Amino acid sequence: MNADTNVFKRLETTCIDIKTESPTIKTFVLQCPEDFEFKTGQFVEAGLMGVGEGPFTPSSSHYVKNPIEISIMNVGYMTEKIHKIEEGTTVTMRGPYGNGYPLDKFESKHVLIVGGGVGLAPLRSLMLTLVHDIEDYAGITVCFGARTPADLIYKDQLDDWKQINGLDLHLSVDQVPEGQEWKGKTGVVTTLLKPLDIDKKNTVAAVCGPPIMMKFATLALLEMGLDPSAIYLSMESKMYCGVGLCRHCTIEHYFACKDGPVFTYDQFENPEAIWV
Amino acid sequence: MVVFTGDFLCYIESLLGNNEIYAPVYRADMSTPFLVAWKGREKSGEPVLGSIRTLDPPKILFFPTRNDPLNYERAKKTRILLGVKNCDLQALQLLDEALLKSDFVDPVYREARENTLVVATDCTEAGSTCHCTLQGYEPFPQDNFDVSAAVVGDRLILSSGSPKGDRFLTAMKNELLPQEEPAPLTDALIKRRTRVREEVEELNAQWSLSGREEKIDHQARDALDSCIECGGCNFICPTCYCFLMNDESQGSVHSLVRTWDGCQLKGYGRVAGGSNPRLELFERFNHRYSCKFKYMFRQFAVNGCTGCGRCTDVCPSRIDVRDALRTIRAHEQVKK
Ligand SMILES: Cc1cc2nc3c(=O)[nH]c(=O)nc-3n(C[C@H](O)[C@H](O)[C@H](O)COP(=O)(O)OP(=O)(O)OC[C@H]3O[C@@H](n4cnc5c(N)ncnc54)[C@H](O)[C@@H]3O)c2cc1C
Ligand code: SF4
Ligand code: SF4
Repeated sequence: MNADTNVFKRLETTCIDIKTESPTIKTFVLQCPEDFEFKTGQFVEAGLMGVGEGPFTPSSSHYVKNPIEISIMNVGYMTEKIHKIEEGTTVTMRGPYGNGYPLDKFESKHVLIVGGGVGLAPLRSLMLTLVHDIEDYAGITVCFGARTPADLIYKDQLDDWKQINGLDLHLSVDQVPEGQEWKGKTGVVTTLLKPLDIDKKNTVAAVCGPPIMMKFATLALLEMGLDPSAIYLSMESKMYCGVGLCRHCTIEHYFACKDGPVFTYDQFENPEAIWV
Repeated sequence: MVVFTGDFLCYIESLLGNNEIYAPVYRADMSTPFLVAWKGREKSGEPVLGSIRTLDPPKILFFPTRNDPLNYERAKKTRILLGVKNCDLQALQLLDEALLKSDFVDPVYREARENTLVVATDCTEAGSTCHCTLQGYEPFPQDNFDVSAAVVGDRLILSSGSPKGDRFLTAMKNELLPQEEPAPLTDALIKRRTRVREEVEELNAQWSLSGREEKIDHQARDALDSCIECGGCNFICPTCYCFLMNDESQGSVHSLVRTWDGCQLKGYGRVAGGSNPRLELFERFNHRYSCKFKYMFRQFAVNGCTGCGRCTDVCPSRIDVRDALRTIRAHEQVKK
């Protein structure tokens, strides 16, 4: 990093498309002034000038360098404001930050992708990136969950993904409220894991979602016989700067922003304490 | 290089035109010196070159409580910071590692640090909460200063610790009459340093490192319950540098505002939606002490606690960080 560049300086991107994914999640397509290089699993600090910024992982493949997509859940001050913008609005961005997924370690392995809620954002990026070089992997199994059918995101793309040779997609919702339709499985996403017929010894798993889901998915994966070092967790932790200065994201002695956000389960000294 | 203290202070005063000078002075009936913007002896009083560390940590000069890292005020003059004690030199060492030598550089800190000459001085007594020796440090400048100025009688023994310090002393030599360094002066310095070190050790005998337990005991946990969550311990600590950031705007003028934050405060870890990794007070203590005694060392190979005692002094509930050394599992290793 060039010491003369101010790390807080933001790039200005133009939001060229907005897709409503669910009642609380929208995907923003951002046109950058020039190609934006990132590694899948890395994150950016994105936001609105004068309003704020926050860490978000691009949900598009890292082979697509412009425009990039981020999927944002409306949960607080800035995310509420950004949900109200229209196409053409300037969205600020800096990054990319963090380590991203170590794709070299996934090579010739079976990659099991497990996620829920807005946690599908980094996993969609991972999935699309892996699909680009699908012959490098033994197989890709994706287990996506949502609270209700209405909360499931990327619905318009699911059918296309099901057609991909070498990719096995499973979906579940926790519950189906009256008035909503669902043909697939119901139950928490971990119920999708047990019946899977995969070579556990040659499998790596990437998990992202609400803390409680990540916890139970991790426990289920361990029970299935996956090694803790083969479980890759995208950790979410409060973050202001994204560059290891503000200290808020500390998990044990790690900075989630620099040493993560992707960690293997065996990196933690006291793994029971990492779930918020 | 040895000079008369009086001559040195006159020389420093003569630099006021081109420099901002910060120095410790006594105020009213306070026994601990204050760090002030020093305007000369007449206006601001005699700089305290002995005594113990100042009430305020030097970080306030390098990392203002509220700043805009995109539009910070560039210094108009160079700064001289007089009278920094060893605990605070070591704290600056930690901040240097964290904010200058990490993968990303903090622009505000870098500007202030590059622009300041740090003149270190010896402690000539032990404060009631001082415990540098417990943390493996000496009560006199060890490293990370530009100039060290050790008072002995009516003289100062000056030495340089950096190229910036070399330049300062060379310029000073042209203006001041250097004195010979008589052997007894050096002897007196060694004796004084030994005496102050022994004073600090004696004061902390009951907290000797060998008494450290592995786990927190319940009595200690009860004592921590008296915390009123003011955050004073964080803000006064010379090595705490956590901040939060907000955008602010007035019309079309936007600014990025950084403010100090403290992990002892409940809102520190709270994320959007309301969940909080350290909702319980005890979890926050464990985090703060783990940060001081374990995480920072692992991250920067520098102790997170320098033994300055400020957090204990400032705590309305009289919670003593040294008890934590004994009772919190987090303590791992001390430097040197
Ligand atoms: C590495 C990483 C990747 C993420 N990726 C996504 C994503 O792809 N999509 C998505 O919807 N959300 C993601 N999040 C969570 C997202 O950053 C927060 O929901 C968002 O910052 C909340 O901002 P706010 O201003 O609406 O909330 P407020 O509560 O008003 O937050 C104020 C500030 O606190 C910090 N903050 C609050 N909550 C969080 C949190 N959960 N995580 C980190 N910082 C927080 C931010 O700096 C934010 O600006 C990610 C978080 C991390 C750490
Ligand atoms: S933890 Fe307390 S004693 Fe240690 S450096 Fe910070 S303020 Fe000083
Ligand atoms: S100074 Fe004392 S009372 Fe205040 S937050 Fe720290 S431990 Fe609690």
